[in-house]
Amino acid sequence: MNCLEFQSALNADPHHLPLTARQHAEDCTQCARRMVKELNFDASLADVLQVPAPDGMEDRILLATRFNEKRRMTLYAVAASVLVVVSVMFSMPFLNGKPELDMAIEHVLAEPHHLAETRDVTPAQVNALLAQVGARSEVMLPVSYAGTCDLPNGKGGHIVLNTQHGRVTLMLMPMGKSGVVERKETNGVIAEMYAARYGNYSLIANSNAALKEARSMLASQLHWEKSKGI
Amino acid sequence: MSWFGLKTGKAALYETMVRAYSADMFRFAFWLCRDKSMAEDLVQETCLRAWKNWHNLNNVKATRQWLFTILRREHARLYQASKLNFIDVESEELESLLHYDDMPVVELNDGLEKLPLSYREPLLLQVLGGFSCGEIAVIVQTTEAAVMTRVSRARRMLREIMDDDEKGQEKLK
Repeated sequence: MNCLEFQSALNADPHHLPLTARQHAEDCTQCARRMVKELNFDASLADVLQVPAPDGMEDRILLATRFNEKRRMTLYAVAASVLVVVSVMFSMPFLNGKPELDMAIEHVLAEPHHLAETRDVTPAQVNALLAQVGARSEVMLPVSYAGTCDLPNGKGGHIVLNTQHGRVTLMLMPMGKSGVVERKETNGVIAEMYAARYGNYSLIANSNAALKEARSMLASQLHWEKSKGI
Repeated sequence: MSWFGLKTGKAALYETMVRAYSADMFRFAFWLCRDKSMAEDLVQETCLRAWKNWHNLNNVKATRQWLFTILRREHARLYQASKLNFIDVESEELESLLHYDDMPVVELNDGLEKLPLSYREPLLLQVLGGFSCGEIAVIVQTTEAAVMTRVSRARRMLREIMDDDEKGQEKLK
């Protein structure tokens, strides 16, 4: 290494001189003196740069970090809570732990008088109830009772249909889960649940024949908002 | 430092890091922005970012370098939305003016202020941070050769600025 190269290395970084530069300084008095001066220059520069850090700065930084972390965790907790609440709200209809077809059957069994009574029901009343699940009927169905009812998963419609094989209850559950078809035989009744445009609807009958007739009746008479139906 | 009553490994390491490096970071920040409260804000923001991005720290031994990189970026973010506009130095004069045995502090201070940021930054990292040119290159995201050039240039300019001041004062006398 010559003096020019040494000076170049010295200017670039006097604190991390390569071995060849240090060897050169040992042999060259002038460059050795330059190195000392450069290191002195840096030492003086470092002295000037040594401004004191503000008192308590470290503690303030740690406190700010802790505060930020706490706030972040709080935000996460709030977000998680909101998510849980929203999830619960959306799944309320399904959180009763009881299958919806069972709800419909229980409701029918709890109100047997509706099967017996005969009311004057208008097509508008029937269609108002059917509209809850996205259906309507152009012709008047053979209905002996029609009304709204309270179900564990929300308001529903309760219609009693007359068939040649006996009366069949049509339960409309607009708040129920959709896309399922179920069948159940229990407590002397046969029940089937179908997906509707909104929620679902169930047929509850005392015999297979009555259920079949009611199912056919709805299949032929009901019109759905979209293609969903029986 | 405990976090919600728990002193985790991350928290302990973070506290050690803050206590060990914040003063150095403050000095670097101060000489970049020349404002004490702004410098403290920069250091605090740097530490907060470091805490949030702790998972990005692959090598604990390089923590200091990583922190200075964040700090520099925070400073750049503060002043410029875009990348710092460095001046490319094509050639370098090797002549060294080594005649400052008695370093005048005020002149040196002024000289530092007059240095362009692109020169002042690597010089500060070297003198104040003790980083090598290779480490500085990583921090300022350039090549080692460019850093060597900038630092050499910074030293030369600093001496020239101080030399001019000295001559000016002599003329006044």
